[in-house]
Amino acid sequence: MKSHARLAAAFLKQEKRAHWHDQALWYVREKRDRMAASVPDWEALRETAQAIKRHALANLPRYLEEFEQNAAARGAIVHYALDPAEHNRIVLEVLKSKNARLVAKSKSMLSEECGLNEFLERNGVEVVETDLAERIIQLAGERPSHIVLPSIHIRKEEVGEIFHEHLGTEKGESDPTRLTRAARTHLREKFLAAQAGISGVNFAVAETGAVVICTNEGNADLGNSLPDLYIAVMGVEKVIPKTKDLGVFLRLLSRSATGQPISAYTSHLLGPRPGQEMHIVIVDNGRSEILQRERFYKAAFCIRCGACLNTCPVYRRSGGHSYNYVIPGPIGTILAMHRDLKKYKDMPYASTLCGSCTAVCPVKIDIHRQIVLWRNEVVEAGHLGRAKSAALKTATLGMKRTRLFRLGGWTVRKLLRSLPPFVFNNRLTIWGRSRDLPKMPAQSFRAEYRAHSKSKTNLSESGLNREGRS
Amino acid sequence: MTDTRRLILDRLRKHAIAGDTSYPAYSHPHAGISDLRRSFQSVIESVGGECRYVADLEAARKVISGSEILTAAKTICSHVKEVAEGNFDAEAKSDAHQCADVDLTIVRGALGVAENGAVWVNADPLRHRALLFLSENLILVIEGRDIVPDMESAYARIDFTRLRSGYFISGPSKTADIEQCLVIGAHGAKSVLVLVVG
Amino acid sequence: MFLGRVGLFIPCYIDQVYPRVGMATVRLLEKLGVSFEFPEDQTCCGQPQFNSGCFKDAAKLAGKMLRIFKDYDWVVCPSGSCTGMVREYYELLLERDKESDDFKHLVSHTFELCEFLIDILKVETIDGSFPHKVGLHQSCHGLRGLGLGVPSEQVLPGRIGKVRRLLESLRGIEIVNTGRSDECCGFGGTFSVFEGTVSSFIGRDRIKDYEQAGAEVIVSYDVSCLMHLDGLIRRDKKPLKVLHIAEVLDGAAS
Repeated sequence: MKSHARLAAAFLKQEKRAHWHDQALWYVREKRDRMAASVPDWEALRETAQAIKRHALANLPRYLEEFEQNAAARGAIVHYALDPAEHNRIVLEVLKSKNARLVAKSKSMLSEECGLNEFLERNGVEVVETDLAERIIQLAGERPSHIVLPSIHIRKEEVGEIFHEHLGTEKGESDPTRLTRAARTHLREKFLAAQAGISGVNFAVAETGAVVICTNEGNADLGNSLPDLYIAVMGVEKVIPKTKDLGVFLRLLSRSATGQPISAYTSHLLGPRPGQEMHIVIVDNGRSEILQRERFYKAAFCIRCGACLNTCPVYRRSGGHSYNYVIPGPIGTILAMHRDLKKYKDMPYASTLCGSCTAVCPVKIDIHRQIVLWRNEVVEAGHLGRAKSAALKTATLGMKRTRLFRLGGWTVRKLLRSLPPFVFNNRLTIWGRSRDLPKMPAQSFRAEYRAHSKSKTNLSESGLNREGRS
Repeated sequence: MTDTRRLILDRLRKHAIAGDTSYPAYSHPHAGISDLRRSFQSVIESVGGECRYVADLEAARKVISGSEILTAAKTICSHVKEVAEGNFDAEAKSDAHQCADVDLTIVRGALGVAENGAVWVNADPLRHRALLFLSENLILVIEGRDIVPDMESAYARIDFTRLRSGYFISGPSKTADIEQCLVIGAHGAKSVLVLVVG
Repeated sequence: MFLGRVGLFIPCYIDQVYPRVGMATVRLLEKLGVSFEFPEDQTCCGQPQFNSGCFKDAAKLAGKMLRIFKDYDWVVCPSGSCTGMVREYYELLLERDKESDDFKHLVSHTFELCEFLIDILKVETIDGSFPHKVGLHQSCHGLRGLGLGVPSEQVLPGRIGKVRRLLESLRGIEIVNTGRSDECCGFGGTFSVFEGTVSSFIGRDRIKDYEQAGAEVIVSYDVSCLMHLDGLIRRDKKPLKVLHIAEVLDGAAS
């Protein structure tokens, strides 16, 4: 597996595309800013959202039971799954029980996490992603590069090629409207033919048993209303106590995600439609472990808005696929580390720690702080790498003793001043590859300052210069 | 399944969440909306929909009778007969799939939300909730007095005790999945007209 | 105004590589009549180690900082980032000292130079002129960590920020507005080395922002960001200059 640094460098080789990627996401961030500013109470709303999450997740067993009871009373069949294997098995069994061979699926990061599509395909079930971006990704045989804008890395000409190959659109067609229309026609057929619909869940309300789903395209709604079988899959953390709380989260979600005042469709489903069977699969898959970690539990508060991706200077310049984990960017980093510290060890280092992620997060997760804490976990587990560890150890050693520190600084300055610049400003040094090193001064601050104070206080040359040369 | 359930719930009880975990007392009204009607309309327009204020249902009928949306529609399913008769009876169809070719659907909405242009539609009176998403175009009819400022007040008015499905619909279906170019009409309605009566 | 003992905390890279910034800080404080000491035993706050995840190594340096500066009434530092290190993160490193009075005092009395001027010395204006077009680079740690301004993603009053207000008091200065008002420069401490390519790419974008806004000089309260930006500027042979805010204020004030 290539490191984030290498994958990002490859991404940046296509400079024009990289700039486009950066600017497209920044545009979403700006829309988000305008929408956030239109809510006078924005920062207080974030506080409340976090307080609700804190309460809900601290009392999750109670709320899960309440949700389960209410959903069951409405006729939904509720399942629990510990891990992806169990989740996938349950979904497959339900599909088989109804002899469903074609599934209209709408976007679910949980199903990505569980590798549901591949599993179902292996077991003879055709899964059609119905969100436009997810469909593009599926046809291209890729994985999402963003949790809200999964195909943000694909240019319209490439979509044209993919659609030409799979949907028979005209060669060279790259007009977004015409391509979208072609997808609409193609997917409408699938919706009408599907025997089952599967979707993720944005919120599950304990008080009523309602499952709430937000989309702009209306795909989740066709998928949950047309077929006689509908399966909603959700992480345990999606449960919120009251209907009233939706008023907080929905106001934050779309504004943070895409800079919209609300999604085009916000669907509240309380049990199946008449003649339908509805299943709800509630999945843990490590969420309970996140909640058990004192330094990291807030990661489980995430409502998957993607705002931290859009604002992240590194994500924008490295693309979602450079992160290796299914959820990229800042939130992806602090979720991935719970999965596999060693495998994703470079993810926490893919951050400047600028803190913008924390400041945009609608539920106020301390994302950048967690990122640096994860670096510590990586170091403690011995995964930093020998060269980096050694360099930092040496630096610490030098800095612990003032005398060594002065000597080290003197040596480096002397060395860099005496060498011609091409020696260090070249491709072989990491700093010098694209940047010049600062010009080295003759003296350190402490030496200059001593001279300065001496001349000021007019002290005579009394005493030895303890510093020697510094 | 019961084992898994117990296992998950047990694990969740061992959480490390610190600090005040009580349920917060809160209220965040969307302050600063001076004119509910104007705000409601302008947000709907900003999300690609249309909003018209009419005095009564008769006026609503007049507004849409000559409109392009009505004349262009071949198959019209109306649940608000005072506004348009319609020529397709979805209630008579046993299967939602039979509604696949509806061009225009007219239904009542229960609420309009000024902060985001959303209309609350209780789909329970409809035999086929899918109609709301299959229809190429949508007209939502709400009463002028049912415009509320924000989501907090909207939820305070919605009764979930018997509800089976309800939707906030804010403008037409849309996507920006291809290069962030906004395209109206992804899978659901390509146009949404909100008629506010009274 | 009686301040008591003021300790000057000079970050390691300023000491060794940017003495001119340290000296500008010294002269500025002297002009403002602040008497202070420079404890010679200081080296580094531990940020490079902390930033890399080596908390144990960082803790040794944090402990040293605490020993050196605990007896000062105020600690002043010409770096938002290093100040932020002490204020925001020392609690993660010095777990055992966390509850001690010395620790609490250090954390609550360590100030970045500009905020020391503004919040403690109550300096509102600097008498002097700096007739240049300036791009003010609000480093992330100062902006978000210390709250020297309100970042563009937050919905709070005070967007202009105290540093900008102080700079704007100089005669002839024009502070340009960049497209992305507070985008990160991409330095990120060891990130600049671990992820050199991304770091430089972000930096070049930031420089372009300042160029397009017509800036002649990029001014910041963090030399680390400036070192990175300047390295790119000189590599690309651009006419832009970088200056630490202490250099600007010291040069302008007579």
